[in-house]
Amino acid sequence: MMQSARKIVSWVAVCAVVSSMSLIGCTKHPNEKQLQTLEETKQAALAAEAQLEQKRQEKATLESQLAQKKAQLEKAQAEKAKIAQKLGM
Amino acid sequence: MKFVARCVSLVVIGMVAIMLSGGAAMAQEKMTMEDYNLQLADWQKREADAKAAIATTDAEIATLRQQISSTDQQASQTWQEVYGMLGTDEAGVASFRSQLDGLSAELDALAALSPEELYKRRAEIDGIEKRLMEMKGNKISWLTEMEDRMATLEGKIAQLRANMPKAIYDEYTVVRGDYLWRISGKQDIYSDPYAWYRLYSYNRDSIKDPDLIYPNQSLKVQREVGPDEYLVAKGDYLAKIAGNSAVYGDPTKWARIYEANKDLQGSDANRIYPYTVLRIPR
Repeated sequence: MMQSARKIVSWVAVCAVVSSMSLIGCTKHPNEKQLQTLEETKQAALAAEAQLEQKRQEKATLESQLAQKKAQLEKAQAEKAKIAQKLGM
Repeated sequence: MKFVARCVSLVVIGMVAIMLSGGAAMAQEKMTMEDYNLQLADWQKREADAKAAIATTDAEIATLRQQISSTDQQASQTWQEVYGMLGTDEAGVASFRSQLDGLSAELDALAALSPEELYKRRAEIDGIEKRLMEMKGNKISWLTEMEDRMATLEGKIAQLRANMPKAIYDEYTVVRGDYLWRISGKQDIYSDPYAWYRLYSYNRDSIKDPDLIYPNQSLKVQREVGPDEYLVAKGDYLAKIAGNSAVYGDPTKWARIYEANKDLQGSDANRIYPYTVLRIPR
């Protein structure tokens, strides 16, 4: 009776230890080097996105400048037509 | 039995300890490899997308710069053609603009004067207006910019004229014993008794007979000759006055002056005296 109880207890203990170990030890995690790679990739992506934002702003400014220049050209053309009419050309 | 119970307790405590230590380890390193791979792929994709968009935007920027330069050149070329049609160049237009700026500054200076000062310097307004009219004869004035500037100047001139008093005079209240000769001889009036006719002709609406003025009667003492008035000087005659540039600049218009001042001159157009304030109809 005593012996079988000891066996049971021993088996339970072994099973408990094994299952606990497997529960923790089986999950894989990135190592330090991988984490560094991830951080570098993240910083590079953020830098590229910031640069893209700057380029978009520059493009918007240039679009506005182009609109102004086009308006100036239209004004000059209208002026030319008006003067031509006055001169009877 | 006691032994069995102790063993079971130890095993349970051991398991709990192992689980706790494992949990603590998991808390320290939350990221699994699966998460890591997902995040890495996500950041790599974002970087690649951003770089691709930068390349596209750079190309668009280059195109925009080219378009701006081209439009600018076209506008410049068109203006040169416009100036050529007007028989001038950019420098000529700049000079015209500068002249208008000068007139504008002169008008602004006049606008800062008191109404009395402005009245005294009204000939300057006439001068500016004349120069403006002369500039209108230049083809450069056909440019819309110049038309707008000239319209602004005309507005300023009109504003100055509107702010200018129609006449500058002081009030004098007649006291017992006064007569026009005496009043005009007073130092604060004209210091010249012969100027009584100026007093009379300026107040002819309220003085029916120059020998009859009454105590407490209010007289206007003309201080400045207004734009619609003329103070006759020795040697003047109607044709000469009409020919004066400040009047009509045309001697043949003398009859207009005569008609407007018949109440003083009667039937004789040649009967005018120094110190007479004539009304000049406009």
